[in-house]
Order: sequence, then structure tokens, then C-alpha cells
Amino acid sequence: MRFIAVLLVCLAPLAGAAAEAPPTGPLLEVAINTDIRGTDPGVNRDANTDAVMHHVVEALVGYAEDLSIVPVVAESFRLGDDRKTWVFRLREGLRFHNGAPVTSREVKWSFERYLDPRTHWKCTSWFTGSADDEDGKPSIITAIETPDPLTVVFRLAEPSTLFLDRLANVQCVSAILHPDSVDEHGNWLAPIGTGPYRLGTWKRGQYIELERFEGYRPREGKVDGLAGRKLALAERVRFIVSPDAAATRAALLGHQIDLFHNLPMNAIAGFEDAPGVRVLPSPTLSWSVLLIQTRDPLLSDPRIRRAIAYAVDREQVAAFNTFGYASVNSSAIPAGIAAHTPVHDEWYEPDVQKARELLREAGYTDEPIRIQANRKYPNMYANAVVIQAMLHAAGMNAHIEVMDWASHLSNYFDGDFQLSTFSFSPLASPAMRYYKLIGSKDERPVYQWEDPRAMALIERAIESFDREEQWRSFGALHRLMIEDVPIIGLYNAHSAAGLDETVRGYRPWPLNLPRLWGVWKTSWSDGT
Amino acid sequence: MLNYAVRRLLMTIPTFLIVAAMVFTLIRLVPGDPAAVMVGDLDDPTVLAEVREQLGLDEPLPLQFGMWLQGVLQGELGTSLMTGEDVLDAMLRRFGVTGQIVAISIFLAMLVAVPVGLLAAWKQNGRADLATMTLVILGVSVPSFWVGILLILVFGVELGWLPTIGYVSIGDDFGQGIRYLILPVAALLLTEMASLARMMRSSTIEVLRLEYITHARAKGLPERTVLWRHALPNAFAPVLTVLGLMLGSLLGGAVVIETVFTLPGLGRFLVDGIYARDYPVVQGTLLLVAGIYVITNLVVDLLYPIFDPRVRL
Amino acid sequence: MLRRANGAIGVALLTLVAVTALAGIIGTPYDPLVLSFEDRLEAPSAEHWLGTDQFGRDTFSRLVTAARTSLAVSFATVLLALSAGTLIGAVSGYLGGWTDRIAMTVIDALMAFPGLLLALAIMAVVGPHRYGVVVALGLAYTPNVVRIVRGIVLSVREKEYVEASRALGNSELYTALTHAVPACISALTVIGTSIFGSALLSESALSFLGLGVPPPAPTWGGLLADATMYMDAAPWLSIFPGLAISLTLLGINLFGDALRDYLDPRMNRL
Repeated sequence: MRFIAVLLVCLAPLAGAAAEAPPTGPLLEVAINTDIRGTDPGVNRDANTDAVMHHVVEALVGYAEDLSIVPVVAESFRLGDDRKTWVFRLREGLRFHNGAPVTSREVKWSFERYLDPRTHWKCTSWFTGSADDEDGKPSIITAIETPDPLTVVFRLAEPSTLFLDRLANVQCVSAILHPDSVDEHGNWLAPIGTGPYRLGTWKRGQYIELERFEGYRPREGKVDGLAGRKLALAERVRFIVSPDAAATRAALLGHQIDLFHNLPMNAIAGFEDAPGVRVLPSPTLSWSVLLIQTRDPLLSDPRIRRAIAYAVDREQVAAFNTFGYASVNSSAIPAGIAAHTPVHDEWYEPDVQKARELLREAGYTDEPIRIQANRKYPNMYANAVVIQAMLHAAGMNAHIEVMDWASHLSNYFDGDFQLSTFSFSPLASPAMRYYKLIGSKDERPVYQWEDPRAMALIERAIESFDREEQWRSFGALHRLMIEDVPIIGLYNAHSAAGLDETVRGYRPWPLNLPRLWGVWKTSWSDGT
Repeated sequence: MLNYAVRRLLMTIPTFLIVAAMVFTLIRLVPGDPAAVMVGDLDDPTVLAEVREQLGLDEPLPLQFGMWLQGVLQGELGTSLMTGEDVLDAMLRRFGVTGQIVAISIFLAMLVAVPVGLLAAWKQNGRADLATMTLVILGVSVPSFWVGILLILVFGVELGWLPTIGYVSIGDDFGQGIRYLILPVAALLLTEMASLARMMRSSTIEVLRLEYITHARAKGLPERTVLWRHALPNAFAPVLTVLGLMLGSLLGGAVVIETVFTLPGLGRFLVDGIYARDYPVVQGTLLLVAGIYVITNLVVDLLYPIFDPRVRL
Repeated sequence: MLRRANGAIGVALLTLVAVTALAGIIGTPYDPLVLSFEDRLEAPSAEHWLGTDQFGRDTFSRLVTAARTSLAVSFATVLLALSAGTLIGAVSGYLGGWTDRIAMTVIDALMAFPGLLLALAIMAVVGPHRYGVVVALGLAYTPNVVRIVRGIVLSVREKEYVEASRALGNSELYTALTHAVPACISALTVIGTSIFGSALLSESALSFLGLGVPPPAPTWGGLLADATMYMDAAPWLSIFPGLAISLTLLGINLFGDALRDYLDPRMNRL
């Protein structure tokens, strides 16, 4: 319910898109919670670096609002009859930030640089096939041809359905850059890209400022993912580094900044009703869970694990910690996507009595149960607080062990915990999410679920090309998960953007990258 | 005097070596893996191994220590594992932020604290003394980070007068820079003022009891001259020592203030480094802070004789 | 006169805090750890005297429970720093020579780190545990004690009656313990009080940074850290823990001043 309501709220501005041109103004001030790692896109990156750099550089193709793949620097693309040749037609009249026209020569240069192992691009192996294929089969590029200035042809070793997805990937952005972005030895200088903004001043640890690229020619239409119409209305966009969420929240309330795209859920309390600010929530694909170490002497008993499942009231956990901005979900498949069939909504109804019975049956005698959590991610901490109280109420001797993120994460990798509140990064592919959960802990302790039946099911799901059949395997997996309780899924949290009430035209979307094109402030119209 | 200075200087060498060894061992004892923090939960064993190799975390520890120490002696502190920045550069830039706040607040605190402490001592046990001393005790009892929170609430959120996040250097834009400094400096000022005034008062009381002051008074010098010309310089020496000590504790206190006001200072650099297991950053920062303390003490010790006529070397 | 009144106020404040903390053992109006969805972020009222936090927990009950933790941690820190510091200072000062030189170099190196930073680094190593906080803070304050005790021992060592004791065939350590330590007691009382104050402040700061006594056990610094997120929506959450820290520190400082005046009559009594 909440999910749909939120979707509607998010989509509402789409319908009311005004025809008149919005006003331009001098400056947008936006908070990011860590400094960017570098200016070499896709090479030295993290989420905040991506968030900034997507205003500066563009790839051939990109994700649209509905997560389909559409042209960006390209005008169009088509797959040849051999299913191994991809032909991209470039947009005419497109210019780099240094004024040079965008031609097939620069596209070829950009890709050759990325595919060179010395560049240390994060995803070179996708296109060269040099590493093991954990992310699926590589799409090996055998040749890049430039028959004319506006045409680029990629020849692949064999047909690959993942090729376009990889070109559009936001983390490993394959930015189209001008060769002057590097010096004569190939060392990185600064991005000369094609985006609506160019890099301005970067004061490490303080802020990074982007300047409007006056030579940018926006497409017609509307804002659409990383493609679509990119109108740079603000002359400058300043990303201010503000690591403390409480301080950022206070800054929004004090009208010091215009926008923060990633408010933690616990920051929402009392914020929605505060004057002068707005909250824009949007669903994401991240998954908050309670990890269970099934090899722990106590927790290896499935009855104890089921007791925990009965004791944990997911609705209540989500209500406490996300203020309703979450879709309760115990399945590895995100709520709201097509593969999340009704069977994935099944889970234990909270029942303290049943939990106590199961504990008695299993002969539980007040052994301590420790829940690991960290405070870097407030919702992991808050989930632990609420779950501890629930387990306590069901008669379990539960304690919270708060540690810093590095220790928490390292314990996750080593399987060194009893219970642990955790959150998985967004993964769009359901098969991938199960794939990363299931496996033998002897092989890698990070695997959460080592039931051989689950291993067989996921293998079958991955091998099947029939969607219905694959979904049936996922359903069976979830049923097995209910029986086995190797992990307790809690919810898919929403992300929330906090905005000053004068900000218009901002829209969150599932990839949760802020987009500051098309964004303006009501205070601009009278001033300029 | 020169002899003393050289001896004092040589004494700092073993201290520095032990500091370096402690700094190196401490952070490596902390559980957690910097490579894992960089990669996050989207783990991929090959990437993890690659990152580890890139960061040189595969080498045996003594070798890593030797390489680091060699670098330190050549003035190279390595590069940050997280950002690839040169640690020395990053540290100095961030030290500029912390240094500004600490220096300005100490300067302002001294402007108030020195005359107040002096007068309170002069009028010892009088009404004014008791009033100021009560205020001073209140002042040292209020944690500066709490003051910071209240300042943000009042001036940032409710009134919206001053910025509470981000930072602009006064070198880049003087007017803006000052606005960013006001609240953090104010948060530190109260405690500093109070503890300096307290120190100034008690050291003046000691000096006023000395013979030469009685002598000066007996000579019929005006009380004003006695106080400012004779008592102040001598009472100031112990305060100088405290100032040296305070600089260290202020750098510590700055960690919390920088967190409250999200300032890109040295303290936050260290805390972020600890959280990310960014070894070169943590080692470099701790070494710098300890180094500042050792050098400040050295300077204070060497300056002492200038202020205090009783110390003759 | 008023000075004595200040001391009395200090004692009264400390007694109040201690009594409140002890009363918390018997019971608090609400369970400080029990959540209540309906009562989240409520302003102070007859029901919840100091309001509630984001989990609907009673702030007053949490403050009272936190008093116990904060005071206990500070007290244990004082005990650790005093005993470790006295032992090292006495032995090193009495034996002198290389032992002393090495000990002092190490102590000098330790002192080069601001107490809070040292505690921060140690906390990262020992991990989240309330005893971890005690160890970290205790270690951070030990060097000060070592210095003072050593100084006193050095001056006592030269005195004739100690020579006499040694001539009687008593072991060096025995002599140190029986003669030097009593001389230290008044100094230790003064520095102990001051460490108590510093420890309380540092523990709050550590908890504020998320490296102190681990939640859900409330501490004053931890309560403040949680509160910053809601400083506008629920200012009471920020105000009361800060007041509690300040009042306790005020009590200690007033008491400490009075104590110093009493033990060190050279000062301030003209």
C-alpha cells in the first residue's frame, strides 16, 4: 500500500510538468555525506562520486526513469543481424566542455582507455573477460570501428544480452571523454566530458562546485533518468561535504542548503512536519535484514531460528525505524518488482507465545544471544535496538553489540557473529541476490544459507531461460527460506530526499542518484 | 642555556621513536580490513585481493613499519588508502582548519582571561573575585560539544543566522570564512576562557606573595604598575605551560567540535581514518598531533626562563 | 567563607547525583530499555517528566540509569589510573637509573597524545565494552599520576629517615611503599578528583562519538549523541543530558577546589 502511495507521490510532478521555461538562478547548494574520491569517473569512485560525476560526464547509453536503457551521447543504436555487432549513431552538434565536437574518434579513444588495464577501471573484465565471471559471462569487445565521424561500431566475440546493461552501468560509468582529459603520459588530469555541468573548484573535504556548461544542448522532452532533458538552470551547483546527518538535517531546517538526497530514515521524525522543508521518499532496492549465523551452536537449531522469526515483528521494526517509508519484505526479491510474486509475501505472523513454545521445545535456557550493529548506518543500529527489545519480550537473553562499521563489516565477511543487523546494497537482479546468499560457508564464510536444497534450486533458476520457470524456482526458494530461516528479511527501505520548500523540479528515482538538472528555486523568479 | 636547549632537543628523539612505534602498532591492532571497507558488501573476492595488493597490505608487518618509518624520516607519510591523497598535504590542509579555530579561540580567551584572572587575584576573596570564580567554575563544567549543540539549535536552526555545516577558508573568502568560524570558536571559548582565568588567578596569587612585589609596593609604586609591570610577566609563565598542555587537549576536544559542526579539520580526519582503517592517515595524524605536543612543550620549556626570573639555567 | 559554601554546594550536588544514581538501582519510573511506539518523541509531561526519545523510552528513567553507568565508569577509571600510576611512578622513582629513564621516556611518549585521542585509538582496538572504556581512559590518565608520584618519591627518597629505613635492612620496595606512598596521598586525592571530572567529560565525548559505553545501556554522552538528530523536534533530549553532565562536573569542580584548599593550605589562604 505504502509503496503504491509513494510511487504516486513520486510520479505526481511528472503529470504537472509545466510547459513554460523555469527560471534560472545563481546557485544550488546540495549536501553529500562524504567527499568525492576523485574526478576520474568509474576509476576512483563511490556512491557520492557517482552522484557528482554524472552531472559532468555522460555515456553512450543510460538508464531512463523506468530503468530501461536509452541513448544519451548516442542518438540511436541497433544490433546487427549477427547479434554480435552494435552500431551507435552519435548526436549531431554535441560538444565537449573544451568546445571540441564529439566524434567517433573520441568515443573509440575513451573505450580504449577504459579497456587498458593500466587505467584500473573497475569493470574492465566485463569487456575483456580477464577475471572470473561472477557477474555473468563477459561481453568481450574484439574491435571498435569508426566508419564515419558520427558512427561507432562495436564488434563482440559472441552475442551478449548484458552488453547494453554494462554500457549503462552507473558505478562503472563508461564516460565519453575528450583525450585532453589526460596528459601526454596518459595520467589523469580532469574530466572533459559532455554533461550539462563542468567541474569547477574542488576544495577537498569542504565542497566541490560544478559550473554550467554553456555549450550544452539539452534534448527535447522531460527529465528521464540519466538521459532525457538536462536543463542546467543553476549557474553553479555546490556539493557541500557534511558527514553528520544530524548537522545536515539542521542545515536544511536553517535554510542553509537546498537539498540532501539521502536523508537517513531516523532523520525523518519531526522533519516532515517542520516548516520550510519537504521530504520526498522513493522506494529503493536495498534490503534490510537480520543475519543469523546458522553454525552457531545455539542458532544451528532451526527451532530457535523460527522462534526468533516469530518474535520479530517486521511491521513494527519498519514502523519504528523508517516512519512507514519502507515495504516490509522477507524475501530476497525486492518488493514492488515483477518477480516478487505473492508467495514472496509469506512469512511468520508475529506471535510471542509461539516463540516461547519453540524456545521451550528447543530447551533454551537463557543463553546469551548477541546482536551486532553499527552506528554508521543509523537504521542498522535502530533495527538492532527494536529487535533486541522484541527478543527480550519473547524471553530471549538478547544483547546488542555496537561496533564501528569496519569491524561489523569484517565480521560479516568472516561469518563472525550470532545475529547481526545488516543491509544489502541494491541489486536489481533477483537471481544475483539469491546467488550471493547461497553457498557453503566452508567455501566462503560470507554465504548465509548453506542448505543443499537451496543450492540446487538456485542452480536450476539460473540455468532456466523461461521466465515462468525461473520465477517458480524463486518461489520454491522462498518457501524453503521460511522453513529454514537462515536469515530474516525485514524491509526494503525507501530513500528520502530532504528539500528546502523553495526547491522545485527535483525528483528521486530508484537508482537514488541526485539529478540537479531541471531543478530551480521559487526565489529565483523574482530576483533574476 | 644553549647546552640546556641541545640536551632538551636530544631528549625528544627517543620520545618520537616510541610515539611512532605506538602509533603504528595501535591502528594495526584494530580489527577490520581497509580493503573490505572500500569494497563494501558488494564483495568480490578478486577485487578484494586486488585492492589489498594495491594497498601493500600483503607485506609482513615489520617490513610495512620499516617502510613507513623510512618515509616519515624523508617527510613522506604515504597516501590515503581511501582517497589516494598525499597524507602530509591533506593533514596540513586540515590542520589549517583546526589550527584556525584553536588559535582564534585561545587568543580571544586570553584577551578576557588574563585581565580577569589578574584582577580576581588582586582582589582576592573580594566580591568581584568570588563572582568571577563562580562564573569560571560554571564555565569549566559545561562540555563544549553540548554548548556547540545548543548554539546550532539557536543560531543555526531557530534563528538561521550562521552556517552550521560546511566550511569556507578565510583565505578564500574572508567574510564568509569568519561566519563559518563564529560558532565553533564560541563553543570552545567558554571552557578555555574559564580554565585560563582560573590558572591566571592562582599563579598571580603566588607571585603577589613574593618578596619583590612587597618590595615594589614598599617603594611606593602605584598598585597598577606593580600589577601590570611586575606581577603579570611572572604570573604568565605557568600559564604558558598550561597553554602548551591545553593546545594538546584542544586538539583532542576539536575532534568532538569538528564532528558537531562537520568541519574538515584534523580531528575528524583522524576519526574518519580510524573508522575506515585508513592506516597512513591515522598514523600520520597521530604522529603530527604528538609531534605538536612534544614541540610545544620544548618551546615552552625554552621560553620559560624568559618569563620567569626565578628560573636561571 | 563563601569558598566553604562553594565546597558545600559541590558536595550537595555530588550527593544528589550519587543518590539519584543509587535510587536508579531500586527502580525507575519506566524501564529505560522498553520501547513504546505510541510515545515517541513526546514533550515533557506529568507522565514523562523529561519527555521521551525516538523509541518512546522515558528520558528521565534513562538519565537516571545513565548516571549510574557514567559515574561507575569514571570512578573505575580513577581507581585504575591511580593504582597503575602510583605503582609505576613509585617503582620508577625509587629505583631510578635506567628503569626510571625508560619508564619516563614511555610516559613522555604517552603524554604526547591528548587523552581523548589516546582513549579513542585504544577504544578502537579493545572494541565496544564498558570495561574497554575504563581501560582506555585509565591508560590515558595514568601518565599524569606517574609523573606526580614519581616527583614526590624522588623528593622523599633523599630524606634522611628513608636512608635510615634502608640502613635497617628493609627492601627498597618496602621502603618505597611505607614512606613515599603516604606522602603522596594528599596529592593523589587532588588529582583523583580532577581525573574523575576529566573521565566523566571524556566518557561523554567518547560516547558522543560512538566509541564509548555501547548502547542500549544509556550514558549521558550516548543520550546526547542520539539527541542531536532531533534537536529541533525534541530539544529536551539534548538539554537534559547536557545539564546532567554539567551539574555533575560543577559538583566535582567545586568539591575539588575546596579539597585542594584544605589539603594544600599554602594556596588561597592568606
